[in-house]
Order: sequence, then structure tokens, then C-alpha cells
Amino acid sequence: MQEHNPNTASILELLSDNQELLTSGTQSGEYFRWIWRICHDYTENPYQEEYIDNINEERSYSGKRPFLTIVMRTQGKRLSQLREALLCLWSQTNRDFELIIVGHKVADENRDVIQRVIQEQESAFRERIRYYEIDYGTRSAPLNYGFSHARGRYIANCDDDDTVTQDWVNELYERSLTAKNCLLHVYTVTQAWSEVDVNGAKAVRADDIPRPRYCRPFSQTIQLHQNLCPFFSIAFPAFLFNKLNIWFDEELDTTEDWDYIMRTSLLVGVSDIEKTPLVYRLWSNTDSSHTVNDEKAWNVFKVMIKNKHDTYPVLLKEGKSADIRAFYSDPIGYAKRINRQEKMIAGNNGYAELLRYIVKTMFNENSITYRICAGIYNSLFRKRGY
Amino acid sequence: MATVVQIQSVSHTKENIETIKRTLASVANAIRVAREFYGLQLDVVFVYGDANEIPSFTNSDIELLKMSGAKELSFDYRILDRKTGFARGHNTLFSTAESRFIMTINPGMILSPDFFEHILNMFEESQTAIVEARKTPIETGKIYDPDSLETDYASMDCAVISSAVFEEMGGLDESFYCSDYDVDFSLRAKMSEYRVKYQPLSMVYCPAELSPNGKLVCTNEDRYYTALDDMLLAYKWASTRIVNSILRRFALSANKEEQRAAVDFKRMKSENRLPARSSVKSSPSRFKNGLYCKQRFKWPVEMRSMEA
Repeated sequence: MQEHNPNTASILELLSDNQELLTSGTQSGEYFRWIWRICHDYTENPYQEEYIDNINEERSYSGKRPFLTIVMRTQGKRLSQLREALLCLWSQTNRDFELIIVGHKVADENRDVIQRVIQEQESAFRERIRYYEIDYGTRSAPLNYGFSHARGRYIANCDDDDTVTQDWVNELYERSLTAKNCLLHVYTVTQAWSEVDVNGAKAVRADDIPRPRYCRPFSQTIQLHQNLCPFFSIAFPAFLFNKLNIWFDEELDTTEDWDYIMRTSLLVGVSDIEKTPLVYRLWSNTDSSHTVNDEKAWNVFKVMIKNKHDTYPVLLKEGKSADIRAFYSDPIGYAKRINRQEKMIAGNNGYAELLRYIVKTMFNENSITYRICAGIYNSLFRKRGY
Repeated sequence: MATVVQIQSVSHTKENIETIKRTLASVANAIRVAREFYGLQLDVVFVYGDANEIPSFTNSDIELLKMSGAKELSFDYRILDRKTGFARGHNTLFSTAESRFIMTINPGMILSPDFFEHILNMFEESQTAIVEARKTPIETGKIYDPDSLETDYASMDCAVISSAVFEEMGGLDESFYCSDYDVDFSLRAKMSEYRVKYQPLSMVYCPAELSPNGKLVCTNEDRYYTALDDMLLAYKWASTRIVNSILRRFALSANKEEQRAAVDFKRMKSENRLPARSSVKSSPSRFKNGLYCKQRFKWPVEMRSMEA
């Protein structure tokens, strides 16, 4: 009798009996060959010996292993943000995590500051924090270094200016119980923030309403075109890094997250968690990877990523062929539809914004005129998600 | 000489003991950091007022809570009358305070380790009445002056208040149940020439839930009390025209909780149970565009029923 839900072992057995499928040149053969290469080749990396040593060191660790390893890169330049990120992490309802802070090219004057912020934490939190420093490489290098020291079953990145709500770790944990070994993806709002000078000290301030730009399911097809997953919205099974040796590409100084998400998601898939525990802050007057790297450099890295996409086979989820069909049958209509969805999610429709501005400027909110206009506005735009 | 602070928390919902232990541990750590890193000497008592129908904690729970911040602070657990509002709850807890400052904090909040250093410094200016801490990860969009740090009102979700000013103001107006008592207190303090401030460097983690489309989730019960308190605040501080406008907005609202609040407000008015009105001309309140202070932005909110 035919088995409809075979396990992996029975699939492998079936393949060995039907070796034509694995012949070089067939689509399935190439896919399995790609997986074989991933499992047997190290990523070309000048620091690979150090990372392998780290992985072996952590493999021999005999203490209790946490569910999640959180890797945080910092240069110690954003003290207030770093404190806030740590506060959010320690406020997690599920504290089954460890935190690896990797200082990257830290200036001497900032080193003591980072150490002091760590020393300020509760002792139970300090026990979960490990601090390392490296002074080489691109922004990918501290990720490889931090991931190589992970002891958790999953690894997530949280930068030193990221904020999360109290359920982030628990949402990942709950989903990991049912969606084993795939990437876990949560939703993210973006919000404009800025630094403010408060009597000589730097504080931060939210400047605008949050935008649900990244509150959407993961789409492999859209990801081929652009990255719609802030890095901390994804948790990676640790075996991808420390067993399959899928590492960050250290040639990349930005978009390293997009590259890594693509290479890993194509292999193990993604499980969407329709919850929004993350606030991704867009800084208007302080450094971020967006401001440090100019537009030209961004575009160069984007081309590099897209070229990399062409070097491996792409396995799409069932149902995604409809996207491709729609694109080929009506490319303009498809582009318009995607664009419209983008605007609805981003909430940046020009006409809607203009109308809202005019109505707000001209009328008092308590007036009848305002309420009539607000009613028209809501029926025209709000219900459609603006 | 040690600065004495009474931290007080009023609870209306049954809290998990682990949640309160975490709050206490964060307070204890902030006290340690204030001592070890900033040279501040603090003497802190944490008073927990339980206004639940059935007390949240047993005697053995209370012993565990006392041990949570053992070295750094003392813990006192008090049963309040059932359904005591936040305003009356804080007044009750304050009535036995012997501290220079009181600090209000909602159950479940977590203090940043360097919390006290920044917020207590603000009281070096003698006219400071109250200083609100910055909530994370959801910061409210109200406006403050980055130089003077003055603001229109200070939320008492987490704030430090001068005990002397609190007493002089006669505490909080108990007409309010769960919100706006802090706005009312700030307005009264301002009318007495005191300063109301916001300290963005003192952070406190405030539990929040965002819906899948990024809106702040709020329960129907919250919405009812907030709407009712908004009308009471407007009645006390704004012109009749504004009160009627807000009342009309809630009465015609598609939200049933807001409609219910409007009905109850009318009933309270007919029964003469509304607070005394202030002189609108001298009021520092603004009430522009339906809001009682200037806002940079307002987080969108999504309602959720308690059953859900």
C-alpha cells in the first residue's frame, strides 16, 4: 500500500531505489547535490579555523543549554539604546535564553562603558551574558563569531538598538515545539526614532506612529526581489550554523542578513508566527547600517546578493507557482497589485496622507465637518488598511 | 543621609507571583546600581496594594515576595477595599508613607538598572512635583521640552512624586477610577506653580501587546474606564462645549464600551456625582483636537474583549 506521509528515512530509501532522480543534470539531482555541498563544504572564510574551534568548544559544553541564543553586535556607541535593548530582553516572560554580546571594533573609550552596562544588570541576567570582542572584518564577522559560540537550539540576532515586547522569546519557543527545524518568523512594526540631547546626555525619542510594513507572512518569491524581514524577525535553528556550516558571507558589509535568510530559508523553510513582538527603529539623526553605508554601496551589495541567488536552486513552497503564473500572464497588473499591497501595508498612500493633512489642518476634530470628513476618509482608506 | 522612597503599586487583577517577583528584583537591582555606581544612598519600602475580590497572594507567597528584594528593600502587602480605584488606592497607601518621595509603578513593570540616578536628580530643582519615566518598548507620543524636560502631564504608570507636593495637593482626585487621575494631579500641580517633568533617560519596561497589524491591544474594560475618565477630566477642566463634544463622540461611537461610558457619565451627572469643576480660564489644560495635551503621534489601538 502506498504511503502518503512518508518519513525522511523512507524517502531516502525510495531515492536509493530510483537513482535516476539523483543523476547529474536533473533538477532533483542538482538540488540534492546542492544540499550535499552545503553539508560537506565550509564557507570560504579566512577565520574559519577560529569559528570551528569555537563551535567545537561549545559542543563540549556540559551545562544546561538554553532554548535560544541571542547574538547582539555593538560598538558601544549607543549607550542609551544598548541599555534599552537589554531591558527589553530581561523583561521576557520566557527567560530560557542566553545573550552573546560581540563588541566589534570597539574604541577604547567605549569598552569600559559596555562592561559597565553589563555589570549593572541583575546577577541572574549577567550569568546569561557572555561578552566577546573582535576587531576585524565587516558587519558579518561578529555574527559568525557570535553564532559560533551559541549553545541554544535556536539563534536570533538582536542589535543594540532593537526593542522587543515581553513575549518575543516565548512566541519563538512555543512555535519551535511544533515547527521543528525551520526558520521561525515573527512580524515587526517599524517606527521613526531620533536621538535627543538631554542636558548633555543622549536619550532617544519615538517620532511617529508605528508602520506595519513588516507585519506580513514570509514570502520566498518577494524575498528574491527585496528583503522584507528585519534580521531580528527570524530565529534560525542552530544546526544550520554549527552542523551544516552555513555561515554569514564576510564580503558583505550590509544586507548580510538578507543573504543568510535566503540561503537558510531555501533549505529548511519558514514558519510564520502571526504575532508582532518587535519594534524596528528607523533612526533619523544617528548611525545605523542604512546611514553608515551610502546608497551606492547598498546597491552594489544588493546586486551581489541577487547574483548569489542565481547560484543555487530555488525550492518554493506549494502555492507559490500562482505568483509566478500571475506575473507572466499580466506583468503590469501583477506589479500594480504588489505595489498597492506595499502601500496598504506601509500606510504611505500619498492621497490618503494629503487628505488626512488637509482635513486635520482645516477643521477642529470636534466639529461636525471634521467628523463627516473623517467618516468619508475612513470609508475610503482606513477599511482598506491605510 | 539616605533618601527615603516609598514605592507603591495598586493591583486590580490577579497577578502571577513570578511577575511581581521580577518587578521587585528589578527594583532591588536598581537600588544596588544607585549605591554601587552612582553613590546614591536609598532607603526603599515597596508597598503593594491588592484591590482584588480575592487576594492575589497567600501568606507563603508574601514571604517569598519579601525575600525577592531582601537585601535592598522591604516589602509590605496590604489588602485594599474591593474595587478601589487606582486614585483611591494610591491615596490609601500614601496615608502611611513617611518618605521624601513616593513612586508609583504598575505591577509587572521592570526598572532599568540606572533608573534612580536620572529621575531623582530632577528633584534638585525644588519646584519639581512629579517626574515620569520613559516607557519602553512603546513610548507615548506626548511632547516634552528636551532642555527643561517639562511636559503637559506625567503619567503615574511609573513616576516619582515629591511627598510634600502630593500632600499639599490633597493627593489624587478619587473621582477617577483607572486613568486621568495623573493628568488631573499634574494640572493641579501646575496651577500651584510646580513643575511636571519627563525623564527619557530613566527607562521602565511596560508590558504591551501588539496585534498582528501592529496596533496596541487594549481590553474593552480598559476602554470603558478610559472613556469615562476622559469625560470626567473634561468636565473638571474643560469648557462645557468641549465636554458636550466628547460626550457626543462617545455616545455616537461604534464602540459599545464608549457608548456605555457615555450613558454612565450622564447618569453620574444627573445624580450629582461628578467632580467639582475648575476655573477654565486659569486651567493649564489644552484639550485641543479632543486630546488633553499636545502629542507628536498616538499609537493606534485595537480593542479586544476580555473573553478573547
